[in-house]
Amino acid sequence: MTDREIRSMQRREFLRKTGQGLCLFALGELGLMGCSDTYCQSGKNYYTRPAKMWKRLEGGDVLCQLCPNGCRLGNGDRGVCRVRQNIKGELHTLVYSRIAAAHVDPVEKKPMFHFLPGETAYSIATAGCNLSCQFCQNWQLSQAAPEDLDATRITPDDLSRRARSAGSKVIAFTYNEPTVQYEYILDAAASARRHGIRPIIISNGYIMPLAGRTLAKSLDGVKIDLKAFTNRFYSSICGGRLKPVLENLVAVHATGTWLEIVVLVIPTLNDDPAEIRKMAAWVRKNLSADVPMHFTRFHAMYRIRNLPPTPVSTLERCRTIAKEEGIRYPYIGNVSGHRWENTFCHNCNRMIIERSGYFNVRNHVRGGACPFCGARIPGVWV
Amino acid sequence: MPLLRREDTGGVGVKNPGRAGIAAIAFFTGLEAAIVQVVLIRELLTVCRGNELIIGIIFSSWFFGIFLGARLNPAGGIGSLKRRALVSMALLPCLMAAAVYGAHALQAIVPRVAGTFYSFSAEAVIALVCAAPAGFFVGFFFPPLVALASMEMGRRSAGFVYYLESLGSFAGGIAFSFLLVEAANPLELASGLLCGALVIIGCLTDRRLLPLVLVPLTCVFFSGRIETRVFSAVWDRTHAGTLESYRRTRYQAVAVESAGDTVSVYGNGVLVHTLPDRYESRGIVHLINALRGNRKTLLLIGSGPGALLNNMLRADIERLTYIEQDPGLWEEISPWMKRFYPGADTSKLSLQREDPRHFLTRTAGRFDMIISMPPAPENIMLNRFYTREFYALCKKRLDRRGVFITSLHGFSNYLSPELRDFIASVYRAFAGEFSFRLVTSGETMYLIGAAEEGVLPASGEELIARYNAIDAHPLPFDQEIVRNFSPRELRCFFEKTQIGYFKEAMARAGGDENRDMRPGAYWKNIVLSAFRERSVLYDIIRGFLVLPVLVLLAAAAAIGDIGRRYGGRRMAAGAVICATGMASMSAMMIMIILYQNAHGIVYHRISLINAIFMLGLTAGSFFSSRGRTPRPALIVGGAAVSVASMLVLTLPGTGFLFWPLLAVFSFLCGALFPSLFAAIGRDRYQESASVLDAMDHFGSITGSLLTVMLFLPVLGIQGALAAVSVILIPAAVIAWKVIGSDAG
Repeated sequence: MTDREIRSMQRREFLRKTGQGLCLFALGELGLMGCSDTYCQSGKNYYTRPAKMWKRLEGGDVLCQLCPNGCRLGNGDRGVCRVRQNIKGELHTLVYSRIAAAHVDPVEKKPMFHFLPGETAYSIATAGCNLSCQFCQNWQLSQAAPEDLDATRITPDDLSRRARSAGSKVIAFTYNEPTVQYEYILDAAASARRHGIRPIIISNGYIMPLAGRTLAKSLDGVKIDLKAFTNRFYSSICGGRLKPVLENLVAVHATGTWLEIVVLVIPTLNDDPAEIRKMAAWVRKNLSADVPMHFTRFHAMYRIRNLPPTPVSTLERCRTIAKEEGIRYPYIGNVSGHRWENTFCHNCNRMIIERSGYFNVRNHVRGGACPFCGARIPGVWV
Repeated sequence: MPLLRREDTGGVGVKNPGRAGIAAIAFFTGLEAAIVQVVLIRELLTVCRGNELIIGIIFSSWFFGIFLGARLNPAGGIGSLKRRALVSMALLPCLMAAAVYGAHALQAIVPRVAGTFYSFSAEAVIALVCAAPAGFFVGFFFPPLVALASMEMGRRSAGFVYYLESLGSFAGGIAFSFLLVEAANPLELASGLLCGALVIIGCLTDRRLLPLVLVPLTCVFFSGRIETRVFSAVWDRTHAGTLESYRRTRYQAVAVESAGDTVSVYGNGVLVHTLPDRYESRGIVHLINALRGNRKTLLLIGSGPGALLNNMLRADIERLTYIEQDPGLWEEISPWMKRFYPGADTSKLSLQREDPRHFLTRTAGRFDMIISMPPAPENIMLNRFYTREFYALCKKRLDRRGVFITSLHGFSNYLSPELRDFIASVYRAFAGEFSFRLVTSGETMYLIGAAEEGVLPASGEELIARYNAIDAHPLPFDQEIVRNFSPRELRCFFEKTQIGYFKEAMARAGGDENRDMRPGAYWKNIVLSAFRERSVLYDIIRGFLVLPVLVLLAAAAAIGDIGRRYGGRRMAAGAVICATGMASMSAMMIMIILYQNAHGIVYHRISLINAIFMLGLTAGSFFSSRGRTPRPALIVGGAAVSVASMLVLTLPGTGFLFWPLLAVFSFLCGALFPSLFAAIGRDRYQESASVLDAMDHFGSITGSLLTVMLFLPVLGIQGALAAVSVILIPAAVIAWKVIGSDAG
């Protein structure tokens, strides 16, 4: 190499470095590398734990087998969920006990209508999700990487203690997708049960059947969002597929863990009566007529911000269709004061749980049975 | 660029259009430009989001088109020059119609998920594609016309064309603002303008072309039907419901759609109200009723004429004053209100059709309760309902034991720094005014304030207990609101852990309180939207030095190119007019924002502001090209002082100075062009006109971008004015040192 070439290289190098420096300076406070929580800053990484449900591939890559995304990850890569990372050829979760939100909510807010009505659930969330629904209510959690969020360390045992001191009989893994907290939930659910607390998840159901079954067995209740009944909706609005959700619903139901289904009805996107009819028929045939279905009202959220709320008449139509298809407990949700928020006995059709909103619940069910006709009401009551 | 040869006649039979012809072309193109620009703004805002950022992008796209049109303009013979000027004039309205209806049709051609907006990046591209072509021809006609004029007027040619164009723009602005804004749709406007253009073309070239006027004239008669068809087809494919009506009011484009048992109203394409919303209003009706106690006089702002308004009218009150600023919107929605609430007793209703802040300022009355529920602060006009000044005004109009309630975008379980800072800026403004307050939880939060201690309950539980104690059952509200109701439902507004988390987050949040002159919430709302969309804009915003660096580089490249091609004097002139163009655009946008802050929705006044600006340009350029041409340095220096003097408008009670200050500033801007042209024009008139026109508009591009993305968010209105004023100082020095000696 001649002196001139070396000088030219140095010049290029200098320009490149200067350019990079300027870009970094200009991009200023992007903060992508920063982590604001105290544990992270302390240098001790409490949150990274070896993950479950993965296999090693050639060349240091790993295949995550937790959810149907099936991410193949090279060293340092993260999955679609943003919270599972290949670290030197091994898959790790980055959100073990890394809790970004913790609130005490009524169980009805989940919504779970046949699961300890009137009780509160100590509800927690981490970062991450394996879908990217454009109407996500909790997008600030679900569409974020763990290091972008302020978090607190809550160990599985701490969680049970906190729930107990808040007077909650239920721990809900909610807001973001619980699937991505798989390892933590298994430990926390076991701890909760030891403390006499019921663990539940509020999930999109986008998980592989094996993992879904394992998770469901560790829980007392599962609520799954069946976001639509077309693959088109799942792929274009949520970045997923319908079939794995249906497979998981069957798998979860087979475990015997209490299951409720929520359908967020969004005008024009998934409110076709024929689609709702097919969905309800599928639920009755493949799961059970006793699985409650909640048709909930959409409100402008996340990226779908310019759409009016679902007309109540649309929700009423969905509920009627589900009833016609044999679903015994179809509900309307997010419409406080509507009569179809209440629970009516499938046998005598009398009102057995009165609701208006999440905070006004009067439960007349006695010992899991209708107080009027004695019919067994499916659900978890004690 | 080759020079125009005076002896070049452009072919046998091609004549210079003469002074009158040039004047007609300049005036009419100016008139067209003013109307096209303001129509494009209105129509693009219905496709994009109606905020100042998008307005800035539309402006910059428009000026980018002018810049290109002025630069890509080779010299030619008279025939070629004349053709270019005439074709530009005829194409402008056609391009406007294409851009307007193309932008609407785009929603069906490139569909987005119902209820979503295009990303900011996509909106920027739409603005560029729609505004730049029309802008191109506004720039493209100018140098050839100056070249034609120069044959008779020499170095005064640019001034002549410039002031006639400005005069045309003034006329266009006035006509639109006072006459056309509600009367004509874009197709009618385009057809009318095309008629005018064809008449001028026919008179200046071949009278046999005049019958062509019949084509656009026919369009005028069918335009209403054509537009309804196009809009209905697009709407039904892109929205949840069926389009019931579409109307352009003086303030905005109002669309009403029906879906199932609901009717939704959109203002500039953004959802504002859904009727009848009875279930939706259940919580807030009870919250307000619980807080109301025995208060009898209510003022309601921005809730829409739905369930809240109609149910509060049934409550035990004496008077409910409801403010709706846009009478056109009210007219569109009131038939639906009557359908949903037949026989509603409106004897207690006092409807005020004016800006709520105007009303609060002028009224002498006091209210027991003021309820403000404006849409999110997506733009400066809406931001003024979330500022400290607005809260102070409301407090002033409250009875001694009155209660103020306002709604705000809340949160679901977690506050990202972007959302936290946005909420904090509003919350601090509110808390700064109301020492005694309650805050609710939820995705829509309510900030409840009182001026006196003991007026508000200490907690949600106390409020529930008070409501329980009221012996008013059955409540006189809709069934959907009272069925199965228990005051315990109000607990959904006071979820303890959410409120605890909120308070903790507010204590940690950064940033200032939201003020009229420092509209932080507006900007933070844009940041939040960009963050939500993972838009490129978000990265640009976060690294806010990127934009000025890019602008500086682009300006250096453009000015350097002029220096390389035409020498130092023209380069200096380009730099000076670039700085002035930037300053004029910045000042213009800030003036619009100041006007909005004072008067609310001012869409129909944007063209008036534009028109007055153009009048100033006309007068300035006329004075500068007719009398003794003043030195450019003096003009630029004067412009710097003029911008600085606009700071006085940020003080209360100085609104009367708005128009004079605008006129003075625009006069100086108008005087600069002929002055610089005279100084550098010599005999290369088309070149000089091209350089100056292009750099003037290049400056305008940078001004509109920097103003909305840097000056306003970082410096606020006062800081932005100071910055613009400071930028003009080096321009004045350059004008003094390099150009000054030759002027006059």
